[in-house]
Amino acid sequence: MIEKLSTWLVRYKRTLLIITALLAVLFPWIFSSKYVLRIAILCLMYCMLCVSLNLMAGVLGQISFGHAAFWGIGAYTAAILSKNYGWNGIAALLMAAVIAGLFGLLLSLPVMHLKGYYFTIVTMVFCQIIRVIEINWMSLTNGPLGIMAIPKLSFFGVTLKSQRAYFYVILFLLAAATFIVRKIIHSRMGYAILAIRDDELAAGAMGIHVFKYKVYAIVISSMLAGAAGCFYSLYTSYIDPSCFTNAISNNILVMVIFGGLGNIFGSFFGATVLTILPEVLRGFSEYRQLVYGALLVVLMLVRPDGLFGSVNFKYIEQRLAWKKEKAGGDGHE
Amino acid sequence: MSEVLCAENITQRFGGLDALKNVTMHVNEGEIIGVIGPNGAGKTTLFNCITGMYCPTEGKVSMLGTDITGWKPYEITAHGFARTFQNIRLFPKMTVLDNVMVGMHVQTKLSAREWFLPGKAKIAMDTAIGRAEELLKLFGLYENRFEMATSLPYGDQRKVEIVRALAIQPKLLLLDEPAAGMNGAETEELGKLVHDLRNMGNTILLIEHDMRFVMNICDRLYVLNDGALIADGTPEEIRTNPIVIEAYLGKDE
Amino acid sequence: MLVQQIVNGFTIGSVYALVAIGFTMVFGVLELTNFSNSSLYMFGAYITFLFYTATGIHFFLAFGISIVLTGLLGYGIDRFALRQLRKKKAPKLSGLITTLGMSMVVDNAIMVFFGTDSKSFENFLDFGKIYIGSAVVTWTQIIILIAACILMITLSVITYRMKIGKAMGAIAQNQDAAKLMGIDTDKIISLTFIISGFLACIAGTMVAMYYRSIDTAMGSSIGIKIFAAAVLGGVGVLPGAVVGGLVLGIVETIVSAYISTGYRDAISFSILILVLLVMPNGLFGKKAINKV
Repeated sequence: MIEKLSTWLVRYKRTLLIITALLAVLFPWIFSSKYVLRIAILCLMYCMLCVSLNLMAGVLGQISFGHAAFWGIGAYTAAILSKNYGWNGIAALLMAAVIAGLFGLLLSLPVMHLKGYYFTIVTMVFCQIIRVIEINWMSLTNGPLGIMAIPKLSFFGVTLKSQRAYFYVILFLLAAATFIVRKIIHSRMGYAILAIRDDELAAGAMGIHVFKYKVYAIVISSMLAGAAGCFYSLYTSYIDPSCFTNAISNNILVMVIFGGLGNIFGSFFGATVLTILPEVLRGFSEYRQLVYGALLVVLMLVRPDGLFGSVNFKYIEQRLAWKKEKAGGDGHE
Repeated sequence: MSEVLCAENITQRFGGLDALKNVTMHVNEGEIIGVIGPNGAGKTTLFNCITGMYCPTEGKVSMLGTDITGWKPYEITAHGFARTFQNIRLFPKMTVLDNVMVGMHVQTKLSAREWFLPGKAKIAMDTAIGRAEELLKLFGLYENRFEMATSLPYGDQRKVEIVRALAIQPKLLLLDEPAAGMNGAETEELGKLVHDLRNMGNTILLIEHDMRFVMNICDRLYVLNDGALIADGTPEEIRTNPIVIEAYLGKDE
Repeated sequence: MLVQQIVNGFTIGSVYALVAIGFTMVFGVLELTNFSNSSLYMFGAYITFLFYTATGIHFFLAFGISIVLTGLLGYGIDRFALRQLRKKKAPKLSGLITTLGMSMVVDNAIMVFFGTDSKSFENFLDFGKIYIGSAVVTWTQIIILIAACILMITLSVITYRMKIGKAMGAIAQNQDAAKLMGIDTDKIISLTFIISGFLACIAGTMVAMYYRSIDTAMGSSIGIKIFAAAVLGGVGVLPGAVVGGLVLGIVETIVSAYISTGYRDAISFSILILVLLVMPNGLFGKKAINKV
């Protein structure tokens, strides 16, 4: 079924993309309720986090259980810079990305030669260490109380206040992140990173500098997460260490795996479904996490690769085009 | 005729085990050289030493006069050696074409200046795709280019590996048992292909078990036994060499 | 003072070691990172609590029932989820995510049933204390240590000396080949999960008695530490898990006594990363050989 759906998606790719883009742009005018918009904004932010994690986990194949750490680093960087030093939004965004990227670089060095579960534990532990620092470095992060009254985002003197404005900001950021990740996947670097995922040794024998490309992928992934963190802190204007726990890291990873590793569309899907689902379940909020867990188990039993994990849209597209070309060629003869 | 590969006195020790003892060999441009020997003679270890997977304990490997001993595999590949693997190592989640495209990695490298020219990267990739398709056509795999590489029959997978290595445009192509698992007809076809490749200007070093295959296509042979080089020469010389017959061919006769 | 910290560290470390053994056994056999292990740990403590307070039976009977039930839960996780995945030859990652999901289900079921407030837990091992020099050692600590030692030795004997252990080793190497050799792989794997359930329950209940309270965060707080202990010692190696657990426990108590309580986890985890930098396979792990 998923295969048929994917083929259908690819066949009408252009139309669907236009419709989606239109819907996304019109969304805040269709739904004006603050609650719905807030969910939509969080949804898009999680999409961005998932797209960035997908670069590390799906494309490079290093399953990180600590992505919330980068998100948190970005959020704290932006909060501190804009609150204490009065930086404007764009500068804070860039700096948040850079600092998160630096931590990504820092993390990538020890994990370079670690595989599988060693990578898992180091990323988990990394997330925990960052959180402990956030809790304890009172002078910088204000500890467990968190940072309050972070100035709202402003462009050229205009402060953004409405949900609608933030919706467009995150929509733009998400589009930019998706564009970057897509560009990378389909470039020379993408081939290299995918080759490393499939077989590190063979990739080395193809002349690929494994170390370099691993660092690239991890750093870019953490930079995007840092940017999402910046958005988060400026949007909610309040952050504290409990926003960036291992549980959140796991949630982001679950979204990516739910949609399918290595598939950007899957990441969107996973992030959207798993952000909206808890809201739908809000009625019986006690059982929310329980249902979430059960759903995960059932999904793994039905589709162990995640919904779109075994689907490669590029290949489907190529095969469709090839089939068409062949049929056309036969027709002429 | 320049010397593409020169390996001098290569010794590789694993703990107390000498996998290679003082092996010296050289390959000239345009040659097809075979390395033969019984199982466990150290043939693949020799390949690993040459391509940087292992760093030889002693000895020196050089490529066109450059000393490459101790280089990392990717550096050696970027410099001009390409290899295939005994136990096929294709990228399982990629199509045939994409596998070959990974091999184009070295060729599509842009210089610092080109990096900033818009569209240059795209042109490089498109040319690479064109070249990959040409290579696949040569090996009769063009029709299969959008299939997953690991879904192909065994013999074809070996060919994809060779194409992938050729994509690097190597100065020396190292084939580790290219005919393993192929039937008689396929082996014969492969022999022709290897010949064609040489005529197109490639230099080839190969490990093979199939004696007829090796004897037919190689210009010179090196015979390894128990990690040591016991003979080298033309197929004719090797066929009649009493030491080789005793160590290796002796079993058949 | 230092002696006191080491004793305390040993006690908590031996608990880590117990749970880590269960974790590492499952890992050794299946190469599966079992996230549900910490849930079993919490489940065990809560079930003991439930049976003791609700039915008023003798504490050790309640403890016994709890051990059996936790073992059954461990079995259930394998039987109804992981075994199906094995049949499908699913990627290893999906097994990991499944245990993560299971862990969420168990944790939240406990939260829903018992509420999130912490509950006081009676200490049945409170037989006073003894003084060794300046250090105070309670009998609870001694009993925990002894129990942990006995269990560790028993398990080491089982895995390294008995036929079942050989079967586990064989499954770890190659499941299909083990099956062909006539080993009932599913049975052995289930057994591994049951044992890890037993261990988690015993550890959970003992910790509950040691701290005299249980709460719903106890599982998640120990989860990473178990994993860290197992990795520190070398995943899949039983003595490694024991040493890893003890080292982690001692480092933790010493760091919080002499350096900083707040940064305790950060420092002990940084040490883990440093160890992995120098020894990528942990203290006792075997080097993986990448064959070309």
